[in-house]
Amino acid sequence: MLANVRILRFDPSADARPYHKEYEYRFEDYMTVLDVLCQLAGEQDSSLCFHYCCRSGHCGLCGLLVNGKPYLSCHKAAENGMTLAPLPGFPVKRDLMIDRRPHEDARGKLRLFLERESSPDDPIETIDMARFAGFRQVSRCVECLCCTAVCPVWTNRPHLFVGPALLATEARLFYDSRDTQKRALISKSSGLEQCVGCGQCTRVCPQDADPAKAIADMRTN
Amino acid sequence: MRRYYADIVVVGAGGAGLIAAAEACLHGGSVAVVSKGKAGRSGATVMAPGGVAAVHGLWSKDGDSKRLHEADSYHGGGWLNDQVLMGRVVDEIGDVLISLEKMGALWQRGPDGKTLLLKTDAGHSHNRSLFLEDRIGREMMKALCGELARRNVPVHDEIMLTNPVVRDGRILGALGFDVNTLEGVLFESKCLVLATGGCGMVYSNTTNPTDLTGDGFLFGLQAGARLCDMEFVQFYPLSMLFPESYRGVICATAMYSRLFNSEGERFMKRYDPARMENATRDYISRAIMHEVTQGRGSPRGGVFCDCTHNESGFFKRFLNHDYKLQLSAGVDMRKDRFEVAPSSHFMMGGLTVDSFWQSDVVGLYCVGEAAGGVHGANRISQNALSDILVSGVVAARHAAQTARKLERPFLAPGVLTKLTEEISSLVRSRDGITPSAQRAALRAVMWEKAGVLRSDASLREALRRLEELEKQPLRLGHGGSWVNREILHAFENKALFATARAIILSALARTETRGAHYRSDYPQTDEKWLKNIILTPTGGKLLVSAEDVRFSRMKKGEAIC
Ligand SMILES: Cc1cc2nc3c(=O)[nH]c(=O)nc-3n(C[C@H](O)[C@H](O)[C@H](O)COP(=O)(O)OP(=O)(O)OC[C@H]3O[C@@H](n4cnc5c(N)ncnc54)[C@H](O)[C@@H]3O)c2cc1C
Repeated sequence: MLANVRILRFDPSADARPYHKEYEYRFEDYMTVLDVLCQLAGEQDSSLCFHYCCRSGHCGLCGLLVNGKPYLSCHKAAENGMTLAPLPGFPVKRDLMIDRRPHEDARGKLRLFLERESSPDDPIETIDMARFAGFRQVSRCVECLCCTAVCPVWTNRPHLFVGPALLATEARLFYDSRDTQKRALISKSSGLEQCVGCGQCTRVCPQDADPAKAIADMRTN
Repeated sequence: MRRYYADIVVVGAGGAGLIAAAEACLHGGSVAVVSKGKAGRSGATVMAPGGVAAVHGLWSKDGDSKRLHEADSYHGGGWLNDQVLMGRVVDEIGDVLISLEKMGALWQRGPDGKTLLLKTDAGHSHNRSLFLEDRIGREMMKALCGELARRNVPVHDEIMLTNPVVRDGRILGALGFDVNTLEGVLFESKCLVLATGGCGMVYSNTTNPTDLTGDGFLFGLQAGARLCDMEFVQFYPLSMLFPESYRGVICATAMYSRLFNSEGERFMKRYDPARMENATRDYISRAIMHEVTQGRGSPRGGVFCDCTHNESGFFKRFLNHDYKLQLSAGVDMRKDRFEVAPSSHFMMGGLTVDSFWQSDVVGLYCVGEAAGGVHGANRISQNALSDILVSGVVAARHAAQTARKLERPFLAPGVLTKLTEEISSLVRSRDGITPSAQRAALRAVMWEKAGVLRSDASLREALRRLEELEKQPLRLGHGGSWVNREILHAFENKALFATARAIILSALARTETRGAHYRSDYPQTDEKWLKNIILTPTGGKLLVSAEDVRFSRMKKGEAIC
């Protein structure tokens, strides 16, 4: 059976603006969006560009919009007539591949490493288990950026709010009972208080990392 | 072109590469990381769900000991392991895991917040693996990426290194290209630590991420380093066959499964009646492929897996990830049987290294899955992460010392010309097969002729077909030079060909069955073969030889206490 897909394409080195291109592909039961893209690139159009590495949800590189909603393309079932576009708000490298550089650059000021006055001699430290639950949950984040792409605050005020993905990453250290850095303060400088608590980020998270809860916890300390 | 210098350049941003970089910082000198994929989002480490095996006075119990860990590893490895290397791994991994926690990782603890929890998996006589939920690898990578940020280590990602620069038996640097712009990149360094991981992509079915194409093996051979144990490829028995993008992804655990052939027979009873589906990975993989080749396979070339006998609630507790994965392929594991097949999981072989993980080339170190010898003929579970961490640390420490003794190399930018010309001519190639068709054909040949089951005839057939395939010219689709993934694939294919050839030549030479290597024409283990097969690059060819194993720490049959 043949199915259709519409893909938003853009080669910044050649095109003036993005445009939609329609393709027909061989539909097979249970194929994922990633399967569709691999089939198109392998058989019809090798210039089609998209990013992925692990094929199973760990690398966080294959996020995109399917009919306007963000998903990991490796975990999303393909549909006839779907429209694919890159995650919005980020510069486009080519076609469905976003440029992650701005995101990576923003990591620097968040001091995303364990910091403390001194490291105790005890080789295995006792940690606060209540906080450990929070640590484990946000540590699931693979920074696929689906949450940041749908965040209304980040979309409208990218210079005032660093976005839920990076705040969840910061929260990993906030929940680490060994860390003595002022994580809430750092987050504040990155716009923590701009969050409107809409919960969109948590709803689209493919890893169940619950960024909304992490942000709320950092706000109430 | 771009040009960089660091005293120590680490190639590859998986666990082995990042811990090597972190360790090298502590010993003075400048350090840089270069990686084909994104740091923390490429390679196998970030995918590892299970655990990391480590015996340490602070957490081990029940009479467990380093000696026992070592003995388990040799038993699993068919006694071909390099005992000096494995001994180091076993002795040092505990302390490395403690320092990784100090960097920022946390391992799973009991309710007191202090007792580390331990688990086990195939091949270990005791519970000795630390873990965190079902994502130990991701946790390690988070801690290591943080550590490199703390130390301001430059990470040049999305650069594929393709060629070493060697003079008088010493490494001087490496050449590669930016995978986005195709621009040539030149690295000069006193020492280079290769941490490019394995080569799962050489087979149609693999658990590995798509960037593991054996690049380090080709790089090492070009530098003049030898390879060892390349016939030993571990196949994980139960992986998915569809949808295509999930081909090879791990999807079930043998001990919770019952396996049936197309005639509805629980066939393990013919292969291993005592252990059935509790048999080791290599036995199950072989049994499945025997059924397939004898015409009793499932429609897509595997067998049927049934988990329905497990109590309800079991799926949520133990197989949550597998359950969700199967559901997305339309399978409800609580009710349905599903197709499974073996999948290439881990490369035991790799570049030959000394006791500090230095290769035959001065200043060229090789760590993690790219190095050979540690695991012998078969790796037991959860030992890979132990290996990559210890090898990274030991090599970095030694490289820092070596670097202090060496002069800073300078290379004329002209060394890049050949590579950049090759790239431009590839961009214009219009006749032949596409890199993706070439790769698919190579992987199929390897799967069918040099995979789980091998024979002299099948291996020779594979060699012949690969030779033909490699001769065909390439046709590239779109000619642009901005983010042209086809160029990347074409270069990776070269490494796949070199790796495939190394696997085949070694497998042909080993006329016995041992560990993960099964020869249907030599189905028995032969004590004469307590040897490692070595490939030496000479005049564009690979010279095959065998060296006796040195039992420097433990002898087969020795009582361990
Ligand atoms: C799905 C899966 C689950 C696993 N589970 C476990 C487990 O539970 N326990 C365990 O002990 N082991 C496990 N293993 C094995 C273990 O994860 C790997 O052996 C280990 O992570 C390898 O680490 P590495 O650092 O050597 O290489 P990798 O982590 O694979 O990293 C290789 C790096 O090199 C880069 N690279 C490759 N080629 C080039 C080039 N030409 N130029 C520049 N850079 C390059 C890659 O982009 C990547 O960054 C698992 C493996 C897989 C695939």
